[in-house]
Amino acid sequence: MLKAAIDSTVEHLTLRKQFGRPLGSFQALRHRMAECAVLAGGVRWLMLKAAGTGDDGDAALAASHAQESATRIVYEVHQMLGAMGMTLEHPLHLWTYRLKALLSELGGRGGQASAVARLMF
Amino acid sequence: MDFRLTSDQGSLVEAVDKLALQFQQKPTEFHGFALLGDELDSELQQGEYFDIAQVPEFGPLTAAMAVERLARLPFTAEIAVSMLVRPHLPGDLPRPIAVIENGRPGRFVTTAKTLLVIEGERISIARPSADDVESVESLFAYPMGRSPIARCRASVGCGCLCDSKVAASCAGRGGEWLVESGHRFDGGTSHAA
Repeated sequence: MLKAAIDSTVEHLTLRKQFGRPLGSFQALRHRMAECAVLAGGVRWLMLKAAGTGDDGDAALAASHAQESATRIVYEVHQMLGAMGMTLEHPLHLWTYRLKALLSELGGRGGQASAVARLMF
Repeated sequence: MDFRLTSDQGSLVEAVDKLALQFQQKPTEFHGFALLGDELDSELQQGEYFDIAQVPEFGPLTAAMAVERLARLPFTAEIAVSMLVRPHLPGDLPRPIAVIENGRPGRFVTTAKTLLVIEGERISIARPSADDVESVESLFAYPMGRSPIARCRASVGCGCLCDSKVAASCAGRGGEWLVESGHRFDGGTSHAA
């Protein structure tokens, strides 16, 4: 879902022009999207590691990082979409509103962080 | 670490991507929150994709890759719990499977054939009827519902309840069964679930 939200946002930034150029050509926005991509990549790899090992600590770490990263990425992609990110015509909310639901599951960030502390340290 | 996919994993990922192609776009007339993928669910069921984790050549890692790819779609269906959690549950529980945490509304509860009920440190498994669940309006882009389960605790040890629909194969896991008052639910607890 994080990747889908980021890809959707990148498409918007590529097409939408303001101040005579695509929004995606502004370095400040590129930096923010790059940060989002790095976070989403980390979520993916931790998830795959947890699935591969079946270790409870790995699972808690993956969930904790996913919930922490999703909080930031959801904010950023909606900022990037601007007014379009507030409409139901654009599909972004189909991913970000699902992420919002997942943020509080299984104890949320606090619960997962406590699980990591208990299981891995 | 070797991050390359095996040939089996590569084939499966390709098959999932091909199946997902027809579900890539949000219908232009849809302006709601929960875009249900009933057809997606049906195609996955028919293709036996929910059993990926149990195939020795694939395992839970490949199942996780399938879940990850399908989560990118605008359509939603109960996929993750069925693909990743169901193999660890006792017996052959019917899907869709929904999770209810501490009485809060949960995803896919209204269509679930199996409920995983989490109350603090305790986990129960239940088989709801249509009267046992209700839909909850939500902005969460998932179909949300709740189940007003009234429960009483009856410690009957690890084993089948007399009219349980849940296979009680909890050997080695320990178990204390929770029975919903009025016996409208058949439930069991696995501490290791």
